[in-house]
Amino acid sequence: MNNWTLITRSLRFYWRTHLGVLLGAALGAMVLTGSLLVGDSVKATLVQQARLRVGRVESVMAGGDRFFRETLAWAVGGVPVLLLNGSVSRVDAAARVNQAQVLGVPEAFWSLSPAGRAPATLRESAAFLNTRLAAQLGLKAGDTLVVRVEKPGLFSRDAPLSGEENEVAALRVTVAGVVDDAHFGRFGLQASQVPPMSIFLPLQGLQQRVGLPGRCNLLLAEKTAPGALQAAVQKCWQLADAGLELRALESVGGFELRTERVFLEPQIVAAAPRGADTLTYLVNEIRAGEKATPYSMVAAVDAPGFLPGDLAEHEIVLNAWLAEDLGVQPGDAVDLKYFSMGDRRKLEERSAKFTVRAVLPMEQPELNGSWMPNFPGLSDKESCREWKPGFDMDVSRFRDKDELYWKTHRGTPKAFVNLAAGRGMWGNRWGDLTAIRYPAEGGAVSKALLERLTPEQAGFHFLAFREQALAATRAPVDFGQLFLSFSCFLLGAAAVLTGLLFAFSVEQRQSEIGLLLAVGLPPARVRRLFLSEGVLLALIGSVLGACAAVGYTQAVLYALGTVWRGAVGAVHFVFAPQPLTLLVGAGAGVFVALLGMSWASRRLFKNSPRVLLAGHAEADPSRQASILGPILLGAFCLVAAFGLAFAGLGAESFFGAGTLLLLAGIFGVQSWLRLQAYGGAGLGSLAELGFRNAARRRGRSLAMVAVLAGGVFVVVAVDSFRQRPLQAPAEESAASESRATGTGGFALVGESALPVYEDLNTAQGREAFALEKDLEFRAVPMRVREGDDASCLNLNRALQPRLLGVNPHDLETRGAFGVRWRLEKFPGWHGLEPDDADVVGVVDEATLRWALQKGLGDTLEYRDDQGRVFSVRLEGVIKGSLLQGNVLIAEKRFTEKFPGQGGYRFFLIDAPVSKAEAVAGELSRALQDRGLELVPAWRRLAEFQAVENTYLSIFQVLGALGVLLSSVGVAIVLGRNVLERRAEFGLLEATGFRPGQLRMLVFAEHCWLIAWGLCIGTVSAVLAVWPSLMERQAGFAWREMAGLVLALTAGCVFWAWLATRLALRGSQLRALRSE
Amino acid sequence: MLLEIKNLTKTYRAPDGVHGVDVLRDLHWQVAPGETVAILGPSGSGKSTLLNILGALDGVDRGEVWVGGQDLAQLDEKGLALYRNETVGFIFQLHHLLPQCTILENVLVPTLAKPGADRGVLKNRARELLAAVGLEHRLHHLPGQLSGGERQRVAVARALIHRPRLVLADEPTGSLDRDSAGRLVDLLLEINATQGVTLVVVTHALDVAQRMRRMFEIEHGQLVERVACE
Repeated sequence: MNNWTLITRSLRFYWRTHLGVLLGAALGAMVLTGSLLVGDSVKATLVQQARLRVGRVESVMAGGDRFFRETLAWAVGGVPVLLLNGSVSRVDAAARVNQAQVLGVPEAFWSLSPAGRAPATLRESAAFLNTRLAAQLGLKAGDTLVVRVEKPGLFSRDAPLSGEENEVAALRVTVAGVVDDAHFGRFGLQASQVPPMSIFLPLQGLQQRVGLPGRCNLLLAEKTAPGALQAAVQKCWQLADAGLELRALESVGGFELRTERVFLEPQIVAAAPRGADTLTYLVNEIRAGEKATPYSMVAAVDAPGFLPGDLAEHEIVLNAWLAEDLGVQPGDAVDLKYFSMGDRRKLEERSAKFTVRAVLPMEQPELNGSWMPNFPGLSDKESCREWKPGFDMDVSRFRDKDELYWKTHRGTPKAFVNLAAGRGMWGNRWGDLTAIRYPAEGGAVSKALLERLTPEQAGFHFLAFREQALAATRAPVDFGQLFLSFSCFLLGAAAVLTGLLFAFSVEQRQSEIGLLLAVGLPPARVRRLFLSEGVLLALIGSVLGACAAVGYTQAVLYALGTVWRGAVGAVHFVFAPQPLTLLVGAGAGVFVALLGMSWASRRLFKNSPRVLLAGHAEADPSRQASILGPILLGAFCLVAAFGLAFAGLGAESFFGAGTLLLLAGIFGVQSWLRLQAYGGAGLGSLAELGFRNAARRRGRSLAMVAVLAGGVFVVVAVDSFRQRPLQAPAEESAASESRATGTGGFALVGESALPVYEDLNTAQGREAFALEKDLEFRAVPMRVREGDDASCLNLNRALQPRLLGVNPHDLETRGAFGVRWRLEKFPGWHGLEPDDADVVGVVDEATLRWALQKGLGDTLEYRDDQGRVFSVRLEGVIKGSLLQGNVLIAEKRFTEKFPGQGGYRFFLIDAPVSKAEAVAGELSRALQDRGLELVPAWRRLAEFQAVENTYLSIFQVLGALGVLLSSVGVAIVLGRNVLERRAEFGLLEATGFRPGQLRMLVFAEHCWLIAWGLCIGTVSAVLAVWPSLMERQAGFAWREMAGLVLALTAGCVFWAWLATRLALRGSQLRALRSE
Repeated sequence: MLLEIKNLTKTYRAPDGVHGVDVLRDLHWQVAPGETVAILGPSGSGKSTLLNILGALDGVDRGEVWVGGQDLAQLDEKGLALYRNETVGFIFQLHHLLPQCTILENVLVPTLAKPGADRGVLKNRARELLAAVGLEHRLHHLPGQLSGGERQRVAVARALIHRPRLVLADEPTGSLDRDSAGRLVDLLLEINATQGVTLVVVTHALDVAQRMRRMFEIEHGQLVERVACE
């Protein structure tokens, strides 16, 4: 005989009573392990998706709107891809997708896919669609579709003289097949559990159609780290890859460095060897008195030999043709009128006065067309009347002599000014030089430049594609922890139930404890003996629970893919249990169960052996405790609760107050139970007998009240956080009243696949899209720098959230969104443009807290167009807005950092509520080529709120399961109480009570406990969430809340009734007879 | 003296904490080694309370209890456990056998308090004791398979497993028929005679009491010695 024998014998002998403990422990372990397994599965799903997204690609060089030679990619052992945004529609226009990813890919692209091979050969004018796009459009192999992509401008279309021709190319292609995830169906640069909508076209075909033969903007490398890829590119790249050209100047000798982007960017200028800087620009008019010459090239040069060396900033040198046309001589004054680009492509005509310093003869070798950059819409035109420089040009001003000049001299400047004067007039954010001239040999210049210029400075980004994809799977929200916290109450209820059942079992064996103490076993060892039994039970239960967790996890994953899909999008989760998680879950299950058992049985072992041997542990008078303690504690909690509630410290203090009130209520019940236990003058009624009985086992009564109250607190409090479904505002006044809300008072929100350059608020902008001039709407356009979706719709970690560039004035004048700043010095939305050069960001509160897991004052790092790292300091938050997932910065800062990022792609639209639908329809139609998609703002916000509500639903369902378990616990306690009091009921029956009366007695006795629990829980919960109830725009759903409490009450009462019926079946006289 | 009680008072308080009953009041008592003593008295007179105090199953409100030279009030929890295990053997009216353990194992239950002891020796001792009480053929039966008398004999064997100096028996024959009761008393006296164990028996039965060397009755919280003819 040893401890082990005693334990195993006891386990076998009391197996029936232990079964309940076992099931309780199993339930706890199942919930615990299941929660952790959900985390494993979500993580594994994201990792699997990341692997499918990146395929065999290790690193990437992304050019964005910069296009390098396809041969560069091949030279470094990579695969070139042309990646564009576009819209895709069915030929019958029955369906359309505006935000599609259009990929021009070579055959080698497929070798990098997870499958490692092409799904089929892709012929010319054919395309593969990924599953999501095909499903969205309802297309299959053999169908025809239309793809619209913007012909990429090498020069920002925001810039002056950027041209405006043929911006959109429409391609009609046949679907060759639908590619699955194994064939890069998930390929994309951004991490998201929802794959992009992709269409794959043959590289060459797409290059031709968008006017970029031999060019691409994405390089995929297998087995090459970003550093190695960068080194390889640096070694192999040429000027053409950076969009540069070193052109021989035949007439004057030497070379000229120029760029496809017209203006040489500052970082290129800084890297280029020193030469003669030039800036050539198209001026609107050169006037001398009454005479004027329209639309002429004027060059600003850095003191070349053919001009006076001391040419001052106010002096100008004309060519003979212009001098004659204007009838001027050296010393005369001329006026230059030119356009400079303001915000939103707003052209401002400015003028400058010059004094003619000299006149150059037309035979001067330097007077040639080489000065003119390749202005889109100008350089390639035969007639100057065909010019399309990107602004409204009055072609009627062209005279025949102008036409003749163009034909004869092309872009030969008609005048030259000092470089400083030229920079002052025409310098802009894209640059202030159009060329650098060198007398030296071109090869040396090229070599020197390529050595000094890095691909990153030229705007190429090197990404550790695989590494970043896998890093992004470290989701900001750990689903394991999330479900564990959601399940905490259920877990607690299971632990309490396990503890109670264990305590029942031990109570049943109290004489055994008494005996062991009586024969000389120290109390601690006796307790250890019994708890060892508990450990074994918990161990077996936890192992069973861990096995059951497999089913539980699959059920949760199924729910996440179906009824709870609002939280995670349409994701099919893979079930990926980790052995270690099962072990940890089972171990934690043992711990939780043991905690419950140890807590529930702690008092029993404190009884004297005499009391235990007599089986009267519960009736030991020495255990009668004072009511003073709980009364004092309860009063303290009550005072603290109301102190907190009225302190006006905000929502958190109210939640604290609610929790304190819950504790106060529980202490109150404890005092009441203790008071009942003392009895007093005697029994006045049957109900008093009931109360006395409840007090007799006050530990278990209190446990049930506490668990019920806690459960109801959780369920009711969570329900009050639920966002009520948003609906379209009903009245016109709604917009102005709701400016500070999540919609910002805007009627519509939308995005376009291709940038919109025009200002839709101007007549000119509307005319460009043939919009009705009197269409009632005002737009707040925003620039977009693509990045990770940091909204709650993305499960992946957003490493670099999308940037939106907004004019603060647009939001400030409307008072939209009510931004809250970290520092009070920021004045409203203008805080986005502080005096210093800092880039300040505003972000949605949920994005800041959950997706980015940052606080105000923290920074995010980005790379600008020149490859330089800069920080966005998060200084302000907006609460519960439709801008969730984005970081808003000032448009001014945006264009400074990303000058190449032309146009606007994100729009907030103000429109009368009654006309919002019509405005949305008209705008979507007119900007169809831009792929504009508008939705009501309230609906977009509702999509975000649905995610929050789904999480709350999960929390509530698990909380309600906990309450259900607690109510089952009430039934078990009830059954146990009846069992222990059979003789008492027999006696009552023997003295004339009817069985129905006895049932009513027991039922009423336990209904009191239920009523206490429900009341304390509900009142505390309402106090805890009072501020949010008052803030609720849609009003608080009292009816739903009452319904919820009633449902919980009904559930608990039902279990109590059922247990009463079952426990008090038939006559109790038998029990009396057996005694 | 093996057992000496000085000024012992024990009060049971009502749940209100105010009212109470003095079960034992300023009691003095001495028992020499090897004596057999019976304690008589009506229900509620404090017989079992006295026995529980002697067995360290219950505490005192006032006074001193010395057993084998040890003041029980001075013993801590560990010391009390050791005292219960080594000095005293307790026989309960309801025998309190563990239903999940065999007879042999039940006898060995007190040995659980001494994990380092030689299990083989203890097991042999348990067998011997069970043989002595006439249950050598029921070693591996469960208590539920035994009669009331047999169960009580197991309880006797269990009480003797650690060779106690004092055996306390609380109504040992209370649940037995006359024959079984007689056999059990024979057994207890035989143990007293052969092992020199001091025996204190609380009983309602006068015939059982009369077989002890001395008889006491509790009256108003005090022990009063009776002679056989009384």
